[in-house]
Amino acid sequence: MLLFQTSKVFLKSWQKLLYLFFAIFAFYLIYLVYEPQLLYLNLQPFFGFDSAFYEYHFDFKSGIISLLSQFFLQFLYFPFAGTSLIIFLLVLLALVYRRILRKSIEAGYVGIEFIVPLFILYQLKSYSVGLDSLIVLLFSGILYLLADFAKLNTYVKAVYIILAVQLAYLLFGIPAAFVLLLIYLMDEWVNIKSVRDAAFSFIVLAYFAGLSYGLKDLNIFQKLNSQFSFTDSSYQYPGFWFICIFIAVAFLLKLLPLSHLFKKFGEGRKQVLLNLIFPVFLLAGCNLFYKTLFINKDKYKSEIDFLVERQEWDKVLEFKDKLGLDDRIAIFQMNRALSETGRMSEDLFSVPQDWGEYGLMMTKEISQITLPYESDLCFDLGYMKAAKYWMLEYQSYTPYTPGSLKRLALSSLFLGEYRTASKYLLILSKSIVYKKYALGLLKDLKKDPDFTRQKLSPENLAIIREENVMNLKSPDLDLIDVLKNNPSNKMAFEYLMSYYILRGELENFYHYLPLVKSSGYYKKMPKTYEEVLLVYYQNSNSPADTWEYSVTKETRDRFEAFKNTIRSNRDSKVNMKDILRPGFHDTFWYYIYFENPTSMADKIKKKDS
Amino acid sequence: MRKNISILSIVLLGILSACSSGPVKNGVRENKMPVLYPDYTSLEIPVNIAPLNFIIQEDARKFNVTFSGKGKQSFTVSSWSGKISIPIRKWKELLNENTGDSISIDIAARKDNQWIIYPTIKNFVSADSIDPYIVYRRINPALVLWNDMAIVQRSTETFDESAILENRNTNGNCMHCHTFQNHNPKNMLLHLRTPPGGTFIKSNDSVRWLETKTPNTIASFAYPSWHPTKPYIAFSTNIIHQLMYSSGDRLNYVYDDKSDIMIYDIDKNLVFTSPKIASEDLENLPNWSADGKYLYYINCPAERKKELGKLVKYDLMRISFDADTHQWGKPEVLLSADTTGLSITFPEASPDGRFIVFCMADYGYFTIGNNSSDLYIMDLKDMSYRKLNVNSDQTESFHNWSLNSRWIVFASKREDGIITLPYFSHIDANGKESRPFVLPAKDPESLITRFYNYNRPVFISGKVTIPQDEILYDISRPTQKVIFDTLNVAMDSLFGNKSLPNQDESSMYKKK
Repeated sequence: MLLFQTSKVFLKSWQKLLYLFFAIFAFYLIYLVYEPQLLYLNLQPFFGFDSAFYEYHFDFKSGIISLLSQFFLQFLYFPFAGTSLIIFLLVLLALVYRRILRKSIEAGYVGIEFIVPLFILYQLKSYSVGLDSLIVLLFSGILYLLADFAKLNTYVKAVYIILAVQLAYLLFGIPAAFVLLLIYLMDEWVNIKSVRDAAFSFIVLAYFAGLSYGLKDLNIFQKLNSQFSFTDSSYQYPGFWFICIFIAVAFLLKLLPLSHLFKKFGEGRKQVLLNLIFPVFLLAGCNLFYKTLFINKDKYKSEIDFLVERQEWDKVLEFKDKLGLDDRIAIFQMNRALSETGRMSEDLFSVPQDWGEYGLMMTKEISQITLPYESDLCFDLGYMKAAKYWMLEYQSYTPYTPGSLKRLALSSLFLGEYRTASKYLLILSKSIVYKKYALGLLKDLKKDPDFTRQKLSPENLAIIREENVMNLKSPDLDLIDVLKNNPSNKMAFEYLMSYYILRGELENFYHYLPLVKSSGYYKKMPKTYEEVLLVYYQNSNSPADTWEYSVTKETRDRFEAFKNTIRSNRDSKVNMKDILRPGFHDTFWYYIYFENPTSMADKIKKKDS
Repeated sequence: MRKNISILSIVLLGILSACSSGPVKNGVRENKMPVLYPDYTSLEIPVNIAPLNFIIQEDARKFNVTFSGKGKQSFTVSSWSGKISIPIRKWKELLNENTGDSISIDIAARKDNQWIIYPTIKNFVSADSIDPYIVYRRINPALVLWNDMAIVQRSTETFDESAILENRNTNGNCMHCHTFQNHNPKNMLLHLRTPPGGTFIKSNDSVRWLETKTPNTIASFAYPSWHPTKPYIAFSTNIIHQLMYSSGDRLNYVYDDKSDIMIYDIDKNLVFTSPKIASEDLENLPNWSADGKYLYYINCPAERKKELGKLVKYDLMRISFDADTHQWGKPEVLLSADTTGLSITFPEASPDGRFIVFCMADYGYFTIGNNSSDLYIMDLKDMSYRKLNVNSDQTESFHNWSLNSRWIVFASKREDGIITLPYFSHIDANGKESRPFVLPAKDPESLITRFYNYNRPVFISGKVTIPQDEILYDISRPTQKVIFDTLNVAMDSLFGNKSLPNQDESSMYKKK
């Protein structure tokens, strides 16, 4: 029917045909110009709901993304104020929207204000919760409004929409582009007033189809279809369900008798009033959602990731008391922060180490989520081949993120693989935000690759020429390789020692302890190492006068206090953990006694009995 | 409104007029060759190859590229970006007119308001056509957590690419070892691992979906080779391990604890072997000769394995086989690792029976991630061998002959050490190779930007027409167990076999 009506209009009006031609021409022009970017569409995760996808969009060192993300981050610190501000901004936008488009208001209520609650729902499905979704929301909304300014001239609107989608895609990736198109498409379909509107919707739909056709395989519709084929994989594409909800709600709203009531009620001034009140009600509902369903823990994770990206390590450590104990990645980032701030050897247990060595390194129990984090750590350790390898693995799930491309380019450069580095920089240069950086580095690389490498390589760069097998289950062996390559790599040393400490492998810890003196990094024995030493000496029944490493009186007294507390409360009905926590939660002894199920805990208990 | 339309028309005309122009005749002559990606210069190309689109990597405002030959056909392609997309119809006409001769590519670049004319590029058009399709496994360049995998067919004559089977339709499992009988797209085999796991064989309109692990074999079927005429497929069975390198130049190392070779009779659903190819040695990677009378394979003797540990070296072997009587000859060492100092792998006999192309690397047999792996050719007339002049400093590994034995396709990581792309080289009747060139792409930039390995490229003589849905249906059914035939085999010599098979599964090859 739609097709029939569409063709009728086309035949009737040559002008509309010209508009249509112009829309298609604009599409193909943009398609040709931005072909490489569009090509990636079929390789990007549909709707990219995983947080990692977005996290790497925070990797930008400059540009609009950085500004927007910083702007919105403040809302995460004060949810109530943040939400209120967002509501205020959106109401303001809605007012402007109404004022400018007063004539077409009676068309319906599927506008920016309707999108808000759906976006809040959408963000709740996302791992990182707010930040990414809010950026997408605002940007899409603005562009939508921009497109709507030209409502009376459909052909102009087409260009706006297409440009907006391109821009949204280039800046924010596929989700923003999809959201934008869907907002538009749904609005058009729900508010169909004329055949011209229908025809235009059809063009936008053709844009999708054309895009997919150009990509040959894995087109959008196939991907949607695959949801029906495999019921167990629907969770992989929550975006699909988002679309379903969106379509259903949009049509329901149109069909509801309520909407007619609104129309009847909404005449003249009342209409204007209603249009002002209605969004406020909706947004109040959003606020309710936001306040009641927003999970602080997830918010903290998002903030930690952001701060890590900006290398604000001290601020990362401020979260140590706010966090729950169930998030491995958050603990992992805390440990990185300890290392980066030089506190790992001194205050290892100031961070809850409930994950043991699993919170220290990600190679144990690797997964799609942990891959980029392990790459980050290896990169910081100067362990370039591993940094590159883990990012390559990550690419198989989330390709073409600027952060991972940059990592691959830099690690290849540091490894002396200039051709590979150039390749990744070339791809990175397709990103508007990274273009300048990538092309600049490419130019340097072409001019003098060795100099560029030397100039940018980190001090602790470890390039190991011997063939060592990757030790997923024993990452300490990799750390030893890195240390052998560069014995002054303090970070590698501290991670190695922390690994042994967290695993309770005190013999190994003791074996590498001489490096504390020989490396020259420490003026005195770090506090955590002293605590471990005391347990080591106690286990080996060594008299104090035979100890190779002295332990300060303060630490020895504290250890005695710890043991005395256990002895004196052995028969107490109060939980021992609760008794010891206030005074000793930041010690190795507390960790080994309660948190880590190794034989060390049993040994301590045995000796105390 | 009229004003708008006029402006629009002017803009359109301007754009359209910029898109076409003739060859540049006046300009400054440049002595050096332009930098092209891919480097499609001084090549021998098959008459039926798809347009060799390329990017001119020179700084200029505009490029004009004129394609011409001795015939009438001549055309010019213009580009602002340097990306040259050749019209396919004109390209085909040009190649057909110049078969057995060279085509010229004249590149002119507009710089500083003048044309720079580069030296002419000449490519020879070989009358030897190439098989119209290749099939490869398209996979992310990840070693452990690969995600997206598909068996894909790609036209060598156009840019058509379509999936035969994608793992997003099979619970994201692993699929590999696609093999065809005599390049025939109707007779196809591939393995799937983890549910739905099994071996899918489509042969003469019949389909088998097999569970290939038997109580008498060490593992499921692995590396296959289809007999050129009989319904037999030679398989290796392997206990495979993979190590990743955290340092050094290589990516990974795949090695076997054990391996044997078996033959599967499709019609009878029966597996048989001989102690000569299923011993405590590591027999692996079978490959039939063109006449089906010999089975080429690689072997690492048990003593050598003991000596070298995991870093084993293989010899190139062959054994005669009578398909009618199932009589095996004596295994012959064609080329020993002791002689070459290198490990020999992936033997592929040419369909004309004249040559074998194989890889040699410092160790191992699965040399996909080993940058020491290079291609060699052996002339079976005199058993002489030499390194092919198609190798790079990166990995060259899996390869396959065209049906007319005049082209090889091989997998190479020369692009960046990570991505594997298919390259072609002409091999003439004397075994002389031509400069290799990469599989042409519609958008040549995609060769740089797509994160896919194109593994195990094999030629086929037409398009695989079996729909994916049909394969999905076939593999959704329960697998059929293969039967192990043992009565002609000295059981004790079978690697890993410690028990007698079920006597009910009586031999169908029992001598009467």
